[in-house]
Amino acid sequence: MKTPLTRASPRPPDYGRPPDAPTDEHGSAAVPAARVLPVAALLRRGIILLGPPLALLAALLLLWQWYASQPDIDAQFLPTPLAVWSAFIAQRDLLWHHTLVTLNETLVGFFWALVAGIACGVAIDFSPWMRRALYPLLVTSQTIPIITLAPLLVYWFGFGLTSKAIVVTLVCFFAIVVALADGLRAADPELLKLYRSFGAGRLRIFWSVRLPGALPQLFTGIRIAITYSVVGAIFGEYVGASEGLGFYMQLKLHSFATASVIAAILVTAALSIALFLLTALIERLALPWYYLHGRQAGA
Amino acid sequence: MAGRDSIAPATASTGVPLLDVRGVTMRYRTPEGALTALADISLTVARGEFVALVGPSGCGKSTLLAILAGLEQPSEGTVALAGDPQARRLGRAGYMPQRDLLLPWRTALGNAIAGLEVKGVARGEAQQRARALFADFGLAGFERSYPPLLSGGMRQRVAFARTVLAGDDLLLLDEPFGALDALTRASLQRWLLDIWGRLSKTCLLVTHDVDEALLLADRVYLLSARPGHVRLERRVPLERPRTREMLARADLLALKAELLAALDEQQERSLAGGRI
Ligand SMILES: Nc1ncnc2c1ncn2[C@@H]1O[C@H](COP(=O)(O)OP(=O)(O)O)[C@@H](O)[C@H]1O
Ligand SMILES: [Mg+2]
Repeated sequence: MKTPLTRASPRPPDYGRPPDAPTDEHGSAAVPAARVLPVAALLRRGIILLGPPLALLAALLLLWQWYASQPDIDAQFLPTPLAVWSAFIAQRDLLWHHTLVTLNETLVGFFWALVAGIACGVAIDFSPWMRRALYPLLVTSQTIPIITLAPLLVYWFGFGLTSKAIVVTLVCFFAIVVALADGLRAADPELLKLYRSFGAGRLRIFWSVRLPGALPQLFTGIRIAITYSVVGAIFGEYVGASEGLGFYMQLKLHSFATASVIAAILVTAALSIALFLLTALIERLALPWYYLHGRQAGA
Repeated sequence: MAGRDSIAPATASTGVPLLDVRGVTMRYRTPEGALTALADISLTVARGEFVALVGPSGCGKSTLLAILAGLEQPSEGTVALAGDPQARRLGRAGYMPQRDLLLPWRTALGNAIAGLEVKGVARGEAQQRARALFADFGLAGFERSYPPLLSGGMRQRVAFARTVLAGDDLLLLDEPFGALDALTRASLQRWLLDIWGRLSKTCLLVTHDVDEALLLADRVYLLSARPGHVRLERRVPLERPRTREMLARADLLALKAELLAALDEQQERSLAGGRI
């Protein structure tokens, strides 16, 4: 007796359609080809998005400038925004050097997190045994505070690139694996059946259906991971390094050059934001279909 | 159903039906125990024929189509393709589930060639064949559109083009118009009626709509409530080309009444039987 297993199928992803597209005799939409958001609309959206936070930021900066320039506030204790700016200009070559070091650690660590994350995500998807074996270990690994691990890593791998890159990899890895494994699992079972009816094998189905379908989720994981990555590198540098933004901040803190510390913090933030925007841009270029109607709700 | 008296030889000849289903039974193991979805189904579809399968919901129509497509193996019985009961069925028929299942990351044309691609047809040739169909399917000009920008009716026609290209001769359609609104459904039925002659395919269509079955099919099988077996088999006495108006003929009305009564009776039984 044949006994195919019943399995509760996850709801297939709903990619959305225009609700009121004009229709012809066969109920066809009269939309000839893919539409892309015009530049003007993008700009307007940018202003709507960026306007309020920028205005708030300007107000906070003014408040800070006013408060820090009160006569009873020590300039070393709390420098004004203008003093931070001067420190930034004065130290810009040095900051640039340390930024490149941190960026390098971040990218190397992130690259390996991506490689390892994709490999593990695929392995988890391909074998139920691997899912059962790896998933609990992965979750458990997340409970180990990186604070306790970083000094050991520096002890094992030295003050150079390797120990920082490993911290970054550890910090980024989890979000990527989970996003990919969940994305692959969410493939519509009906779609898999359709491809099987074409005579497609497992590998073909993976490349043609499951992987492309999991990409939006994978990118979500990547965006989360990249925001952690710079912090990971800085943290590794704090524990033990001879260059990099974390090292620079610690050095300046010890000599009470508060303005330089704050300048370095802002550079760190700028670096994180730049990397985040870069991933968002790559995602947009890689998944044009996903953005046909703007990001879908809940995706 | 035991209407056939001669056992077809394994070698293909003109007398051999393209699809020959004999004594197919399907049982599922479920948490509540064994569930018989199909009981001893036998039916045939001749080459070039359009056959409709109607039955109450839950009687196993989709299960039967999945078996015919090779997606599942029956617990008992045989399915012979072109006279060969041993034939591997996956990749042979064009199988079309109710939902259009278009890949949102592919254009309409890219979706239409999905089956050909799996079969290793060169991309250029596959696209050429799809383009030729698109003209006939009222999809010309939409080759590069992404599915979310197409209406339900268009998406269904893209899915149908994919099915036609994927299948050698046999099309297995599982309520292809079931998810559409009444107007779109009617226009797609008219369209299918129109292109059917030119496609030179063989078709087994699952539907819960008796009118649709009578309009499109040469022959209709009516299945009983679960476990599904063949309850009635009727030839549709209509010549082609057909129009919807022909369904108002007295003999057609009588046939429709008969099928509806039988369907109602089975529907009642399936409701009384509880689980669907
Ligand atoms: N994989 C499965 N496991 C267990 N039961 C199933 C499975 N697939 C279908 N069934 C059951 O078989 C019966 C027939 O289902 P189906 O073929 O989808 O009916 P129809 O298409 O005629 O509505 C239903 O009762 C359904 O619950
Ligand atoms: Mg069904």
